[in-house]
Amino acid sequence: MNNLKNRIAACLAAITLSVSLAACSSGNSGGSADNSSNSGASTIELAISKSSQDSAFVDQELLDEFEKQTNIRVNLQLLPAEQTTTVLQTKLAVGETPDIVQYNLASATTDLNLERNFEILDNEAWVSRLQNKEVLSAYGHVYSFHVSQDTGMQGVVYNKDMFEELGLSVPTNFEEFLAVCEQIKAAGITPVFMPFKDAWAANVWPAAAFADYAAKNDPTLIEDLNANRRNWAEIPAFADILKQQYEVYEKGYTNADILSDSYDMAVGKFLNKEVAMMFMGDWLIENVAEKDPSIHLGLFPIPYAEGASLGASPLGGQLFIPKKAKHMAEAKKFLDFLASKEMAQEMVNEQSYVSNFSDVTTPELPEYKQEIVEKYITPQNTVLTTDAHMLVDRSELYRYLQDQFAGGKTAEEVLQAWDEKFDQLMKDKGIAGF
Amino acid sequence: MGFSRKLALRNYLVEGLLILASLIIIVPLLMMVFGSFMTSTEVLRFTLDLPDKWMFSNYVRVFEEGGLGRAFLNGLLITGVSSVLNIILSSSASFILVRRETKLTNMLYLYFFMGLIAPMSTITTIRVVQWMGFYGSITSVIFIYAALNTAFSVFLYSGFIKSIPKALDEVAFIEGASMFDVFFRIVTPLILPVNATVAIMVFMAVWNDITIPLYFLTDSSDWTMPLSVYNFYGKYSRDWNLIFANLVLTSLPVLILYIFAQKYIVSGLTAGAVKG
Amino acid sequence: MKISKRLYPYYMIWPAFLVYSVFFVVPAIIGLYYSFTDWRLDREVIRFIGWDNFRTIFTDETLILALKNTIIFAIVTVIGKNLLGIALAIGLNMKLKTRNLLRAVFYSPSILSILVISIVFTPMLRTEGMINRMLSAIGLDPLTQAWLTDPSIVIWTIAAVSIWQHVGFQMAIYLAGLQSISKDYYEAATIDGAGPWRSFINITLPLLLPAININLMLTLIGGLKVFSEVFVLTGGGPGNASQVVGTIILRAFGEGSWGLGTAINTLLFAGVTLISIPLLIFMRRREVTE
Repeated sequence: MNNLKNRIAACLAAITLSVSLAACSSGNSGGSADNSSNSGASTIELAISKSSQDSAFVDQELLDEFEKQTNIRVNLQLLPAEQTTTVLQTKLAVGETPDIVQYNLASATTDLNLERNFEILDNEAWVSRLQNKEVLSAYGHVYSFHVSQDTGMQGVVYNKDMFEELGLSVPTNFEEFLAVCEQIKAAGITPVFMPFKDAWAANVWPAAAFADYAAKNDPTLIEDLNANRRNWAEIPAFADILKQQYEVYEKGYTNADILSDSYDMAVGKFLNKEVAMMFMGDWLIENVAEKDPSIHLGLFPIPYAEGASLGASPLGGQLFIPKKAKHMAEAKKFLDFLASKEMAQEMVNEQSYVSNFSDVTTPELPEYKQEIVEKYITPQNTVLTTDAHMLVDRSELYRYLQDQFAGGKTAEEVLQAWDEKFDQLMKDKGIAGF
Repeated sequence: MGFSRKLALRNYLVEGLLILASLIIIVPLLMMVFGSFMTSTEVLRFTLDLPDKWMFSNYVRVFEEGGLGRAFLNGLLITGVSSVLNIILSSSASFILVRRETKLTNMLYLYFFMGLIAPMSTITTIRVVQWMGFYGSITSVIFIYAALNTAFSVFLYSGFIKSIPKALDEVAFIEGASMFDVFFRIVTPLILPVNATVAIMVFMAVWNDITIPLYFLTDSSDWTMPLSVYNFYGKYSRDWNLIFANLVLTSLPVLILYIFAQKYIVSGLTAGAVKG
Repeated sequence: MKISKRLYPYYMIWPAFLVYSVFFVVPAIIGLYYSFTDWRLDREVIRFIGWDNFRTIFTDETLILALKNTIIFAIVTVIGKNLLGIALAIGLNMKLKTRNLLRAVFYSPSILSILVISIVFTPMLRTEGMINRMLSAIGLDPLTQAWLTDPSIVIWTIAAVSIWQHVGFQMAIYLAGLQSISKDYYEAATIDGAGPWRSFINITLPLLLPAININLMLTLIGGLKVFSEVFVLTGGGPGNASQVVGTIILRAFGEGSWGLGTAINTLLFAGVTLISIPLLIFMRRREVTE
């Protein structure tokens, strides 16, 4: 019996050993980082969604340069796009945060509880050089970092060369838009690309049109919606706007399989000149230009009504430092490094940003952007899309919009369903009036 | 003679049918494999064609840029240790659970079984690991994987150990064998195919998982291969050829393990060991 | 009795019990508590709100649809994976020349990352995709479908893809079961003049019962807890047409309602338990009487 027990003890010891062996080797693998920390270096973790990994802040050369200057290594945590929010929320909730997070300021206020979880950066040296503090601030404090103040623009991305060849001019109302579509279709080209497998893509048209309608005809509308004084379904213009987008599809002016096609196909469609237009943001123009600079794309406002303004989305892709960051000082050093005149200038040049630092000059903008600045930004002919005003998660609205195209809901039903969901989400969030 | 010819004919028929059926599996997979050797424009056709030119460079590029060497070793360490731990713990527990039919073992069996159904709670698991003081380490991930797969392994082992007659152990025991002799010399060989099957399945479940490292490993240089696929997916969202190459490389280790383990899955019982 | 005690000591159970309890059960049980709270990341204080979350769940009309889809998916995949799994296992347990190769082929989809399924099947299932083109080519035009975008068939398509991926997994368990049946039985039966069908009914099926039970439980539980197949193929769309309980949970978490998400998870747990535990007990009884 004793003999037996000894053998069991030995067996258990073996299990423990095998585990601690693993622990040792894991210690070793982490050790390479630790060893270097002995020689004065340390590592900071920067979490970023994999979909943003083209971000100028995580360019490898830039990170190497930072390590050379400060002996601080930046380790990237690339999170799968659809899990980014949940992973960050979880890590913030348990206090095991990365040292720097890249996220959109507007979503950070709805998703990540900015005030509770992130460091206020008002007293950083670079703040005094900012030209536009607003795009980095919330609740009256600077919470985030960026070298650009250029907010993305949303509307109809179109192929200028095609318009020229077919002798078309930019439509300024819905009838003209349909007429343009008809002519493009007659030329054997798909007028509008709708990649509505990605439900959010169905939101570009209404988000800009709703906001423009509200700004021009009903200035308190969005405020009223957010205070539950009015409902989405009560506004007939909203339903009309949704019907317009559906009409474009119904009349056969789009790709055939809109619910199967996804956003990542868009660049290819423009490169191959298969499509002429798409309801999207100006970032698409940039992506196409990267692959083929000879194609000329432009942007015009969503033509839901005469003389609409161009939709503007809030600035995205800012860097944040969580309050519980383990290497706060090093993280701030990284921001200082990015904000330094030379680095900021380099990034601004490379990305054609509109600089946010007084001592960093904005480079010559690409043609499409220059045009947007002249035609829309300078004459203040832009309007923040409804997304910028929303306090809760919008993905359910996107699904309802998608459902309109799957034949599951009419325009009115989309708005009614969203009213119910919106009500519940606002109530859960504890917004006054719900 | 007529009988064995009939048998041979039947075998040919079955074989033919199975080969035909296997096309349903092979065609989509070949699309991926061929695609991984194509150029990024060629692959967009999404058809079953041979590549115009075999781009072996895709693999080199994926391996280097994806940091697959490091991720492979991480995966091997995490998966290997947690699978072995899981298999030792589960098979020994199951042996007792099945052989000793008491109220307690029945309760414990249900207790383990519930793990197949119950959802994992990420936040509270992190809390527990934090409290034990090893959050963020590979060790914590190994224990979590071992625990997560316990229900599955115990369920499988219990089901199969039950089919081995208890009389076998008793005879051996009366002949003077110890519990370990019985377990290792009688039960283990009998459940060798099951052992191999469970081992592959646990290995595969851990190898392919992408959530646990995301939440439990703070240092992304400890991450495993499937996560690198995700990263590649983001970075080259239009270069399907590279994504395919990455997927092929990630799937390969488990496939090799399966082919290797087949030897044990096939060997099975020596005739006459079970006398019913 | 004494023999049994000394031969099968309880302490062999405890290491597994310990690891399993500490790293899975205890956190899971504490986690259930959140179902009764208004837990959100933007709340300073988490309040206990009793059954409120559960009331909210049942006012959600997509939940009914999700329940229906989950049940369809579970039934279709349980039947499909088990029938095909047994058939493949029996075929591949015969002395075939290409046996090892075919086993590896049929098993291989189940080792693939779920990402492959999304990448390979999404283009194939498009309306002008490979599957419809092949159907047209062999004159089966009426069978072509909008596989992933027609709300009335999308959940069936996802179930079929799931069968495609996992049938090899079930096959492997059936094979392990078949391997533990002694050849002696079949030889005896052949000498008695029993045909293959009678051998199957009288020998294979009863002796395969442990494997059948394992597979039925695994596919049933897996089917009811389905998440990733739906998530990568349609994300629950178009609209909410292919939403299942598993994706509804993720949606709640995504909207920041963590308490609500946990509550749906608890409900799913209770539902699956109610279905599978009686079945398990019933099957264990039958096994004993064999």
